[in-house]
Formats: sequence, C-alpha cells, structure tokens
Amino acid sequence: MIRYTKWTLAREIVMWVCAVIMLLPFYLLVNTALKTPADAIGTPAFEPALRPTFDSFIAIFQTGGTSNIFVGLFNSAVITAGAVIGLIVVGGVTAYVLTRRLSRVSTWLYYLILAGIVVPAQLGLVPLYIGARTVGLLGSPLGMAVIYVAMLTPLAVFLYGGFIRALPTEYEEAATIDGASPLRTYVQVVFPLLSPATGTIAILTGLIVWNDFFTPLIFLNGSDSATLPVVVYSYVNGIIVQWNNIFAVLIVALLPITVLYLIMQKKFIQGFSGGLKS
Amino acid sequence: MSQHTPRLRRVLTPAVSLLALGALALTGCTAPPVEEATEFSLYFPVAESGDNPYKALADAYMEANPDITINVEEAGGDTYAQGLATKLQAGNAPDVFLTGPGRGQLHSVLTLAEAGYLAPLDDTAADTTIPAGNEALFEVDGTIYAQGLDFTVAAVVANLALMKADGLDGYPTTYEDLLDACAVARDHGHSFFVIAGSMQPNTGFFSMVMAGDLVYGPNPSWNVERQADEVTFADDEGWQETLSRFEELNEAGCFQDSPEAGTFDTITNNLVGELSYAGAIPSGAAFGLGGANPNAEFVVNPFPAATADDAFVSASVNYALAINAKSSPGVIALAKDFLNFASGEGANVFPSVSGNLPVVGADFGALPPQYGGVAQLLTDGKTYALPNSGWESPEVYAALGTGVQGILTGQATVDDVLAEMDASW
Amino acid sequence: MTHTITPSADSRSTRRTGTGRQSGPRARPKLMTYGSWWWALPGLLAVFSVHYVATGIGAGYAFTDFKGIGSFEWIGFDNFVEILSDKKAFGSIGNTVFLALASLVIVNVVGLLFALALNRGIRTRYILRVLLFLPVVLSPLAVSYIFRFIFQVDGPLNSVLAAVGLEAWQRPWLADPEFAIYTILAVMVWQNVGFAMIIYLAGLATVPHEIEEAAAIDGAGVFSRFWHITLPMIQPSVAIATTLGLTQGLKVFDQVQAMTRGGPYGATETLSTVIYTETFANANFGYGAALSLVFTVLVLAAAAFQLFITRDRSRREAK
Repeated sequence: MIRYTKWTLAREIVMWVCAVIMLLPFYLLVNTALKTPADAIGTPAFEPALRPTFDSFIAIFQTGGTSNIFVGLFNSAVITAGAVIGLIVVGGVTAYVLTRRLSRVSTWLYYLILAGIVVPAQLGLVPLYIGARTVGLLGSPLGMAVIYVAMLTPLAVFLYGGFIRALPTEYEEAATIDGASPLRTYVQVVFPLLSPATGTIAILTGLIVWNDFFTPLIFLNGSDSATLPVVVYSYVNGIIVQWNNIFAVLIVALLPITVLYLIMQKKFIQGFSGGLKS
Repeated sequence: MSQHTPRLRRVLTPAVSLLALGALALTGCTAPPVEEATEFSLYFPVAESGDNPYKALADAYMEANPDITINVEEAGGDTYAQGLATKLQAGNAPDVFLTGPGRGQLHSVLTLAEAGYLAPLDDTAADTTIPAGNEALFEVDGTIYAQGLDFTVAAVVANLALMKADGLDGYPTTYEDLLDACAVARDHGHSFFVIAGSMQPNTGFFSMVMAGDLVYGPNPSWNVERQADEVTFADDEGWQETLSRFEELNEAGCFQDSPEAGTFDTITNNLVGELSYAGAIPSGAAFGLGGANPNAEFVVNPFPAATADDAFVSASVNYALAINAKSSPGVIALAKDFLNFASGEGANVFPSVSGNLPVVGADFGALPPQYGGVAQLLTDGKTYALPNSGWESPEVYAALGTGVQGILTGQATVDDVLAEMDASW
Repeated sequence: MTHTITPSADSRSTRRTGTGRQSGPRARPKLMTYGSWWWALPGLLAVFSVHYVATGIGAGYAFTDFKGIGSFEWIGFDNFVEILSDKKAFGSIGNTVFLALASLVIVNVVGLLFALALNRGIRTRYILRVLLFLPVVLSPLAVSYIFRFIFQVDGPLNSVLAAVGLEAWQRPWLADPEFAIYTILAVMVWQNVGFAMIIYLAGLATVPHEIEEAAAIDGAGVFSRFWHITLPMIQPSVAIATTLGLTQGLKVFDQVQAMTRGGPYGATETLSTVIYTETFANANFGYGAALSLVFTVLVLAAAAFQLFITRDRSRREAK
C-alpha cells in the first residue's frame, strides 16, 4: 500500500496551493460581477464586494439585439444539439459500413476520412463561405450545424471506427439469422453497443461546437442566430460596457458548461483521455 | 344529337378557361397590387452613450402612425458594419439601415449602392438632408441613396470646469498654448488628453480631428487628389505633421499614462472622473458625459492650430439611413414615408437624442452652450467632412488606427504609418 | 480506449481487433451484409466536400486575386511573394510558432508534473483533478476576457506586483510591444495544463507500481526511475499530448481576438488572426487563401514532425 508520509502531505499542500492559484480568475470573475459599477472601478479587484448586488445581471437581461446573451445561449444549444445528433448518426453509420465491409475501397475511404482530422478546415473556409452564401445557408442555424457535421465527421468516424473494430460480429450475425434487416441490426443491436463511444463523441464534439468561435464568427456574425461566443464578443465590443456587466455576461455564458461538467466530471475526463487513447 | 353538345362543350370549356386565365394574367401584369405594408425592420448599432437616437426616431414615427410597427434590431458595438455585410450577402437584410457617407467603410453608401443593395431615394426629401458640397458622398450617377440623420461635429470635447479649477484661463487657442496647458495639467495630477490608444476607432478619429487645420481645411479636395494619385500620404507635409503631433503630444505628457493601452472605458472614466480634461470624441458625447457628471462643463472645441485663425472643425453628415433595394415595393413605399418623416416633422428627434446638430435647418447662431467653442467656425463655414469617407477602402483607416498605436509605443515611425496607408489604398 | 466490451463469444472474432485488416477466418461471409453502402454516402459526401473539395478550391484561390465578389484573375505566386514582404504576415508566423512551441513546452512540463503529483497517494487527488481540469472545458474566448481584466493597466496583476514591492515590473501588459504576447501565452497555458495532465494521468495509470518499487529497491533514484522507466512507458501519452498541443497552439485565434486584437501594432498577430482580417474584414480572399495555404502546410508539417519525434521507439527495444 502507498504510505502517506510527510512527503505526500507536502505534495498535497503544494497541489492545493496550485489549484487555488489556478482558480483565482474565477474568484475575480464572480466577485467583480457582484459589485456595483462604481465599486468595480473604484475598489481593488481582490477586495470582496462589500455591497454585493445583482444589478449587473439585471442590466444584461435588458441588452437587446444581437448582443442578447440568452438568445446566444439558445442558438448555441440548438446548433450544438443538431450537430452532435448529426455526427452520431452520420459518423456511426459511416464508420460501421467502412469498418465492417472490408475491401480495398472501404479501407482507402476510411483512411481518407481519417486524414481529414489533420487537414485544418481553415483553407476551405472561404469556398465554404461562398458556397453557403450562394445556397443561402449563410446566417442559418441549419447551415451551421451541417457545416459542423461535415467538419467533425472524421473525428467521429475515427472514434466509432476503433470501437466497432473491437466489437465481435456475433451479435449482428445472430440478429441477421433471426431475420433482422441490416438497418434493424444496426439500430437495435450495434448502436446500443456503441454507447461508450457515443458518449465520448457527444462530449468531445459537443464541447468543440459549443465553444467554437472562429467559424460562427464568419458565418453568423450579426445575424439572429449568433452562437454564444459570438454574442459575448459583440457584447464586450460595445462601447459603453463596464467590467461588472461583462463579467455577468461571462458568468451566464460559462455557467451551463461548468455545471454540466461538475455533474458529469467523470464522463468528461474519461471522454477526453479515453477517446484519445485509441 | 347528343353528340354535339359534348363536342361543343369539349371545345368551349378549354376555350373559356383559357380566356379566363388570360384575363387573370393580364390583370396580374398591368397593375401589381402594392399591398399596404404595415411594418418594416430597422437595423442600427447600439448607442455609444445615453439613449439610442434610432429607437427614439422609430418610437416617434410609431406614435405619429399608430398602425405601423417598426421592428428594431440593434447590433452590439463594432459588429454593426460586418453584421450588415453578412446580412446583405445572405439575403436576409433589414429594410432600413444605417450607412456611412462615401466609401471608406464596410457600410458606406457608395460601396453598397454600387453593389446594387440600396433603393434610390429620388422621390423623397432626402436631398434636403445633404449639405451642399457633400452630394458626392451620397450619390451615384446623380441618384441619391441615403438620407442624413444629423450633423456630427467631430472635434475635441473638453471639461472647462476642470481646466479652470487647475488655474487655466480656458481652452488653449494655439498649439503652443496647448503644450503649456499639458504641463499645467500634469502639475495637478491630470492629463490634458485621454486617448484610447488600443482602439482603432479612437486613434483614427483623433487623427482626423487633427488633420483639419493641417490638411483638409487648407485643401478640401485633398481626397480627390489622392484618388487621382496626385498626392500620397507619405509625401504630404500636412499628414506628416499631423502624425508627428502624436509623438510631440506624447513626449509633452499631454496624454494619460500608458496611452497605448487606453480603451473606451478609459476615456469615459477619465472624463467623467475628471482625471483628464479632454478627448477626441463625437460632439454628441458631450451631452452624455455632462449628464454623468453635472459638475463638469463639457464643451466642444476645435483642435488648437498654429494660430486661432487656422483652426477648422470637422462637421458633416455621418449617419444616413438607406433602404434595402430587395425589400418588397410595399415596404419600400412605407420606408420612404418613414424617411420623409425623419426629414420633415421628425427632423429634430434624432439630433436631440444623439446630441448632434439637426441636419435640416440648423441655426448656428443659436446652438446649445456645449457647442460654444465651435459655433463661430460653423457659422464661418470653416468645416470639412470626415476624411475617411472619401478613402478608397476601410483598410486605410485601419492602417491609420493601428499605426497611431505603433507611434505611441514607439514601434513605428510616422513615415512607416503613412507608407502603410498608401499601400492599403 | 480500454474497450469495456469483453467478448463472451469465441476467440475467433478477437483476431479482428488491432490492425483490422488481417484476414482472420471470416465467419460466414456470404450471408452477412453489414449495412448498405448507401449509408456511408452522406458522411463521405460531407467529408469530401468540406475537407477536400473546399480545401482544394481554397488552395486554388491562393493563386488568384479574388476579392469576394466579382471576377478574379490568375496571378500565380504573387500572393506568396507579397506575404514575404508583408511585415505583419511575416511577423505573425513568428508569433504563431513562438506561441505554439512555448505553450507546448510549458503545458506539457507542468501537466506532467501535476500528473505525477496526483497519480497516487494524495487523498484528495480526485477533487484536485476535477478542479484542475475545469479550465479546459471553458470557452477560450470567455476565459480570455477574464484575463484581459487581469492584465489591464490598473488591473489585479499590477496591483499584486505593487503590493509585493515589484512595482518596477508593472507595465501596460496588453499594449506592451514586448510583453503582450506573454499575456496570450499565459491564457493558453492556464487553459491547457489540465488537458495535458489528464492525458498523462491516463498514461501513468498503465505503469505498474511494482516496477517502480523494484527499481527503487535496486537503488535507482527518483529522477532515474522517472527517466528510464516511467517516461518510456508513457510514450504514447507524450506523443498524443504534444501533437495535439502543437497543432492547437498553432491555430490560436480566440485569445488574441479577445485580448489584444493583434496589437499593439501587430505585435501579437498570429496566422489565424491575420487570415481572418485579410479574408473577412478586408475581403482580400485571394491573399487570405494564400495565407491559409501557408498555414495548412505549417500545421501539417508540424504534426508530421511531432509524430516522427515521438514515435514509438520502445516497441523495437522491448521485443
């Protein structure tokens, strides 16, 4: 057994100090958001809010137009959900077909898709922008979700593929013998077996889409469907903003993912480390 | 016998239906019914300070016309221009929106009009809102495409109360006096100017305010000459001196500490908190700031030139409304009615909220006290339009804005910046 | 991924794991149809159009003077020549590489140290892991604004420096030509340490404690144990963490946009921000595409190089 020596204690203390230092920015965030505008400027940042107030939160409720944080939350939720669902469906079946039906063609296709993970999407962004503009998908949540699915399918296929390969074919064979069509076999037998991979993909891609800033900045800037990061950006670049209000906006923006993370931390951490080990 | 009638019917029915269709088609062709529109959308940026003049205008119109609804959309901060560009390209642009004069920015009238996005305003009173001499900034081929909302004075807004408290007689009238006043300010722990050195809009604005007495006052057609490549930024003494002023002012301590790091809240905090005397901001802000600190006395003044007589002030129409060419005819007609309201009975609504001057019928002899420093210049006509409205592309203004920060940090020389402005032309 | 499905069926199927291409005895190939080719069509279509076709067209634009609307002309390598003479673009390449490498080193060293510290023994290690990983899931944009506040001229960092008597170290961080880039680095490191830590923890979990104890008994010191035993065994984690860290670092955009917008005077421009400005703010699509092409090549080269350096050398030695 590992002995708990004074060295271990020393390590523990040092790590806690590190953790506190790392989390200081959060203290500043919450503290400043609770201050009045005068205090936010007047008092030192580390000083606790003497007269804590929720004024800043009320103020940001009232911002309208494309800077409304709640509209941004809603749009992000819609687009993220759409993209993740799309990825699970498309990624799953694509990986399934390419890894199960072994042939030279399928193998080549599989590796070509995987190569997509490394090729940065930036080069194709301009043609994509023009294409979306022509087709009328610019500024639309649907267009955004479709683009995300296309961008992240390689990752989804990679994760599903590795998982499917380790899956014994017995279950599918049994189902086929019982008379199930290939579709039913996939939906009712294979897909449930893929749930760990599905979980990982949902978390990894969901996080990527939720936090993405560059792509929505280009496709959704100024539109009604701007996602959360873009909304935060517009808000902070308004001319008469003050830090306590900005931080209130940031808290609203960061709260959902923080809460989700704290509830499901095990899944998150596993998703990141587990998904990458394969 | 019974065979005849069916055959006849067989011929008649298609013939009759064809005739009927034809008749319908004809009525459709001759007079497309202009359905009465009862609502339209209005898109504008968030207010820089105080209340939003666009909203006020919209509210005033809706009050005068209770059955009309205006759907207002605000854009945060500096995303307005890009947001508009995205919307126009995506095909879901609003019906009425803000544009800027000339072609120097993403939302400039000329750029948008040439791309076919704007509806011509010949049958409105828009021409009464364009001051004489500024037509080129709003017209393409003689057709006017935008209507002015107010007359912005772009100059220095200074807190006279604070200056007097520090022992100064008043706002300096010459450049030399300015440098002396900077020293006085420093002695009292204040700075004369506050500048948002890290924000392009403010550094660019400051430059344009200073370019008045050195470039555009003496030579109002400088931009035209630049367009024809007869002059360049790098070779122009006036521009060289304008940007050198940043170096001189910085060395004389005229700016707040670390000017290159200043932001818009630095400006607001320093002016309202009485840490600096003045900033180069739109004149309308003088009212907003005054409201935040009643003890201060904010007055609009020109930038001090070599002598008092050389001073110029930038005064021009900078905010203009335009109509989306792709909106339905009914909506366009309604929008034009709105514009006529804005130039007619509601002409004072926008300026009274924005703090700028009315574009129709402004009486320079009877301006509010905040305009005390520039009233004479306005009356004498010693004005110039904001330079960047006559520049080829937004990159030039961006190069100027970032270049000034480079001058303040010492990363760039005046020549470097001017050369970049030329390169971006 | 540690596969949680333990095949209860016979061992024939397990030969399909691993390389996947081995032809083990294929049970009943004639009867079994796994799905239909059509299923893969949407995925293939999506990936090819976005990752290959669009990229190809983008690469094509790099050789033209396309301005977003209207017609354009083929101008060969002109754009690339212009990049060489464009101070800002060229400088941004330097910044990008600096940020990527510096963050790579710091994040991995600190991450590994954290992982080593939290691997065993400490009672509260699980809570610490959760707390230290939190920054990773947050939006880089939002986080950058918090740090912008911290680095302000009259912000907490300068106050703290004054409080401990280091006033000479105070400066306008975000507008300082020399130091602004370190503020970006700080945010990147802060957010990614947890990520590296988790990867290393996963790797360390595969190192059996007994080997280390045996080495200790044999007289190997702490450092020597680490270098010769632990490190080689976590080589895959090092490879993953460093490759991902490098490619992520090269793409840095959000933080710069939020904190300095590339200023002062271009001192913190990175390739991503320059590409964004040129392409979408200035509508120089052709020039922007040329920059993107340079960028893509840079990222691919870095990834390849990284994978090569951290390739699995131990396998050859082990067997």
